[in-house]
Amino acid sequence: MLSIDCPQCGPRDHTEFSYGGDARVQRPAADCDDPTVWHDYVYARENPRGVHHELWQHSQGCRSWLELQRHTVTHEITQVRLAVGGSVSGGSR
Amino acid sequence: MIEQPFRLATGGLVDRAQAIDFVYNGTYYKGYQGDSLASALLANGERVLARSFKYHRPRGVFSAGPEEPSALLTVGWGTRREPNALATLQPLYDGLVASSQNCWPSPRFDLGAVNSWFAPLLSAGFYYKTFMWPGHSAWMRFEKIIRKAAGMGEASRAPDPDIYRKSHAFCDVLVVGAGPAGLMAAEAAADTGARVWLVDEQPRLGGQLNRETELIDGLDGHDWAARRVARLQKNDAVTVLANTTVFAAYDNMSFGLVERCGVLQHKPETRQRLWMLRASRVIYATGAIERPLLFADNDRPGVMQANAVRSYNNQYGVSCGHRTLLYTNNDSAYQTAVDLCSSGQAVVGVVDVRAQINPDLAQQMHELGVPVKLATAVQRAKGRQVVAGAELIALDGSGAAVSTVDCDCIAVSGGWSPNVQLHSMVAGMPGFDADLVAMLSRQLPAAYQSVGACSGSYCLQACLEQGALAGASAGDSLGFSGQAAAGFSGQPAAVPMAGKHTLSAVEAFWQPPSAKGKQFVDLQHDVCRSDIAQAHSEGFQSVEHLKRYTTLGMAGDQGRSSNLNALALMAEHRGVEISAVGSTSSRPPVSPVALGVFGGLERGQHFRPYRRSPMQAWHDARGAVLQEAGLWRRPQYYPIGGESLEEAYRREAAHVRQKVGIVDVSSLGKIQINGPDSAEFLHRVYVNNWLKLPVGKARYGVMLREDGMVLDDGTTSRWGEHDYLMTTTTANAGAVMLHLEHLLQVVWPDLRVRISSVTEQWAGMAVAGPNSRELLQACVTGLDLSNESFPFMAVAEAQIGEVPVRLLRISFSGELAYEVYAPANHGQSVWEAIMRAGEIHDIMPYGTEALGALRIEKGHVTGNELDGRTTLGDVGMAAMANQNKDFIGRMLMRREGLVATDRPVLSGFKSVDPSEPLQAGAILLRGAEAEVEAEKLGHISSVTFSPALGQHIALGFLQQARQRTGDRLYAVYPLRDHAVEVEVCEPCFLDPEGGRTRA
Amino acid sequence: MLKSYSALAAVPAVWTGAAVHLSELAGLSIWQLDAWQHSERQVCELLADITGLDVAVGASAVSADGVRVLWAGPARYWLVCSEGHAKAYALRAALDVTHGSMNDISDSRCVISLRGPAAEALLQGGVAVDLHPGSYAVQQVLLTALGQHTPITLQRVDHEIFELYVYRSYAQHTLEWLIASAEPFGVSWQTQGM
Repeated sequence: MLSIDCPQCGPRDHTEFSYGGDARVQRPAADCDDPTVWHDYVYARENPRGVHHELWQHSQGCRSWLELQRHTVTHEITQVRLAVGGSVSGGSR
Repeated sequence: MIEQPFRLATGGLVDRAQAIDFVYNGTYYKGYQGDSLASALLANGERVLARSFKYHRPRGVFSAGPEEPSALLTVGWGTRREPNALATLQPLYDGLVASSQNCWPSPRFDLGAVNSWFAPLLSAGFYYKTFMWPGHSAWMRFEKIIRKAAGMGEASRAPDPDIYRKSHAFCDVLVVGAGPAGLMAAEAAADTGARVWLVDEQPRLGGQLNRETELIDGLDGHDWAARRVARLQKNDAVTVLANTTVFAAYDNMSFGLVERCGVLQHKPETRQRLWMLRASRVIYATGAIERPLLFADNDRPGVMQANAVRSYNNQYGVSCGHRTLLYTNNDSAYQTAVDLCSSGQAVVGVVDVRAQINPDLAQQMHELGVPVKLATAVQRAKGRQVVAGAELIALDGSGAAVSTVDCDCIAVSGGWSPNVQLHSMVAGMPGFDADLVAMLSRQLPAAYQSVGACSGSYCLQACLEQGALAGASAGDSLGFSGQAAAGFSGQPAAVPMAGKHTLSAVEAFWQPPSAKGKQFVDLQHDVCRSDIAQAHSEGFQSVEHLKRYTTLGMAGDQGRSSNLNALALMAEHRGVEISAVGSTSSRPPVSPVALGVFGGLERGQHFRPYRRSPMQAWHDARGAVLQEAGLWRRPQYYPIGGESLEEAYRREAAHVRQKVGIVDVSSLGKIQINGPDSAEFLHRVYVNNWLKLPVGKARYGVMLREDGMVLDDGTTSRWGEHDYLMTTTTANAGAVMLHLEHLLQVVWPDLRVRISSVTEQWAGMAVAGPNSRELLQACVTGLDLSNESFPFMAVAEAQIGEVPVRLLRISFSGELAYEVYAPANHGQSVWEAIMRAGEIHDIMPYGTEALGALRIEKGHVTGNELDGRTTLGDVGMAAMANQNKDFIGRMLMRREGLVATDRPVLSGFKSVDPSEPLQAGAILLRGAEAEVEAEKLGHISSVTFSPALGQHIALGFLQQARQRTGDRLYAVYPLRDHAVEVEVCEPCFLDPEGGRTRA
Repeated sequence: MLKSYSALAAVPAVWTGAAVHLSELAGLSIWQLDAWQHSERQVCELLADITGLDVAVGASAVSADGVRVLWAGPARYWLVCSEGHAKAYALRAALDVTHGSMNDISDSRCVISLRGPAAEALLQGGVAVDLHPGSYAVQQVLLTALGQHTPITLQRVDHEIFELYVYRSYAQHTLEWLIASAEPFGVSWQTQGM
């Protein structure tokens, strides 16, 4: 069971969090009309064996969206910070 | 009959002053306080306790601990029967009832033993091969018989009446195992001031110290252990749990523990407790278990671990046989010979596969008068039901003739296997250590330590030293200084003095001589040496294949006593080193855990939260039938007399169209939106325009996901310059909240907008029907409800009975309607006030079923239509989107496939025979037959009987729906063999101009 | 004025022991203050000004004279006081839209008080956060969950006294769960109390 150190609340069980996908994607500019850019933004994802930057929401806590660096093999979480910028909303969950 | 014929006159840690009565297979027996069920049965001379899994061979006690593969019994009866309880781990208590399993009528005379006649058929891969027989016909015929004959204990089929509980727990240092190393570790860690948990799965703490004769600081090992335990228990910072198994080591140092609270006596109020423990440091002191050596019929009751024989002698004062033969490849079995001799037991000899042994041992045996046969192996156990002798064979290559020894117990030691299951859950597969002839875990992360026998240290003094060091360093690494331990000595734990005796000179002996008869590798799953040879010859040579093909190590004991023997045999077959064969990985749970304990209290009414509306008590008093909607339960209908659902909702829906009705909408999601940039935020979230919504107005909005599919719809109203209230569907309330929070925090953090769920703040009720204005005007104060001052889509604050309420003139039913939001604590009294005022208007409460009928008549979509695969265009709202602004989903909603003209779009349907009901989920075809090739034109999503139209109607999705208006199709539901002819029509069945709503 | 109903009215009184006393704290007002991205300091200053409490940015909880300020999430605070308290209205009048917003959410929560020697162990059964006094100090507020589904706001008011703010619709279920979980300790529940 992962423990995520919420910058607002301290270490919490991952059961208090919801996973939110890749944290590295950036929403294209509002005036961007290139469909391939939007396609990549919503669908194109890396699936690294190693450090992954990902979003988690502390949904059963302070409701902050966080950006984690998690190793996909060892589950080691090397960084947690408040997420600002990036990622897809209401995506094809 | 002599009471407890195999009980020694003296010795052991049982309390002979406290006799205990228990029942085994219907007969009363006596044991003593401190006995395990196994020791009490052995004391009473019960040696055949079970029949084996596949072949129904007689089985008895093999071990004295949690590794027991054979002595599995059912404890308890009726609804409280617990199958597969380990007799070796089950403490004896007064009134305990145990019975044998997998045998009939008794373990000594078992009719199921006919399976052993079919043994050649039941070898490795039996199930796989049988499945592959042509046509499965033989399998079909024999499955029931074989399944009945093969197996373990049977669970009660009735609900478990006992209570299981769960709790979270936290500590600085977790110590697993309370043997010498674990006790020292716990004490040293506690001395630093750390919060310590010490956990052991046996009822009596001390581990091997309860069996050893070595002294510690001049005390008997068990006495020393008891004193240490007592001291630890006095420390508030230390939690000591016996009868508790750490069954899992999960990520980030969390552990699953099951405490068998009811194991010492029956405890219905808490039978077992699951602890989800998180520790900062962990010290594994899980010990080691003794491996068997293989020989023919090595499963006969009376063949036991040498250390188990010693345990019954030393800890329980029980003799395992009148004439014991020891069989070993290492030194430790000699301790058993010594202890048996000192309690006056007959040891008929020691058979040792090694050609040479330590001369001191030889001398000791000579002095005790125990003959030692070197370079000799046991070839076979004799005896039909229990051991009656042993056939020996010389290993010196001389081909010396087989000799026979008369004995009733063969105590075997094939060396020791460290318990590294928990280690390998975090450190990966253990590796083979050729010196120790054992699998060891060498690469634990820094926060984990392994001490004592589980790390390969078999010297008592070393165990104590390692434990003390590990405990102190765990505390130190967490910054504990040792000063905080109030009420404790504060002295660093002095390592007590004990013997430096160590187990040495173990000699690998994997390939015993062949002899007629089965050599059991995995006793619990009846996997034989020949099965491993067969797996190899059929190509199942990797450990993972071996395991799955033979089911080796897949029984409840997880192959604790069998894995290494099997790996060695496979290595031999493949002609490689054991280290090259590898090992299977351990996964939780280490030993079986009752499912009930994972459920805990969360069953029945506590299974999951039941969210109650503020008006719940009123609905209940009115006899409403409730329907689950997520965690909510909403009134589905309010039956009058013996009305059915059909009768009730038709009455309710018709009444709303004719007069007035009231429905509870409290479960709709409500989101408070505040801030100077709220309008801009809504403008980006919804597809339509939001910049110019005036204060005092509501607007309907649809929001998409970024992939262009509809996420949710609802109305949002503006209550002040920077103050909006959004409503969502009940089902999507959580998802929408998460979506909006994500946008505000991650995507547009510059917007000055804060949102908050206020679903719970407001009780919501919709008052709908032609009489609704007149009714509400009679009880609302502070607001003129006339069409001129409060038109369609207006919102305003007012009072009902002095309670401040919010009124919204919006309609889901297509009638003149209002939604009233009252602060939740006053919800019920506002509802009651409306009911009172409505008496003269003939007000009637209606439920979700009538609500659905009314909205289907109007062609309004809900979750049935907005199922995550629907575009705006599909529901006929493409024109609503403002393509001149950025909003979520703007670009991807334009994708080719999403704007294709052949997409099924929202449409209405009437059954051609008006009395024929339709089925949601039915597919739309041209003909009534659902053939594979039939072209699917769409599907039905929502159905109801329309009281207004006097017939069954439906909403659904249909290709080229507008061109097909008036066409006839079939709504086909092949699973229920149901086909209804339908006529295609517009999705809005009633008042398409909306005159009633705006009246 | 029409009658106000407690969300816990349907739960009958219980007395099986005194290790945990459960009671409802009725008649409290909860005002939620939200600051914008860069105005948390101003909101805290205003809160401090009007309540007279030492409200530091991000402070877990402060209280005096029946007025309590609780941290309720990033840049979010709750002012908890008796119904109709003058300070709440003064605060609302003084709060500028350039700094934040304020909403009455009193009816959205039900407040259950747990007191007694077993209160901590009872809560630990459902809360996956270390409640040991060394980790969870008096006054501190936790935003967490009870069990798998129920979001709660928890404050340790004293060593053996906790106040649990639970969403109103979950309140009855939560109380019933607490009573069932507390069975091994001995529990009492009375329908009204302050």
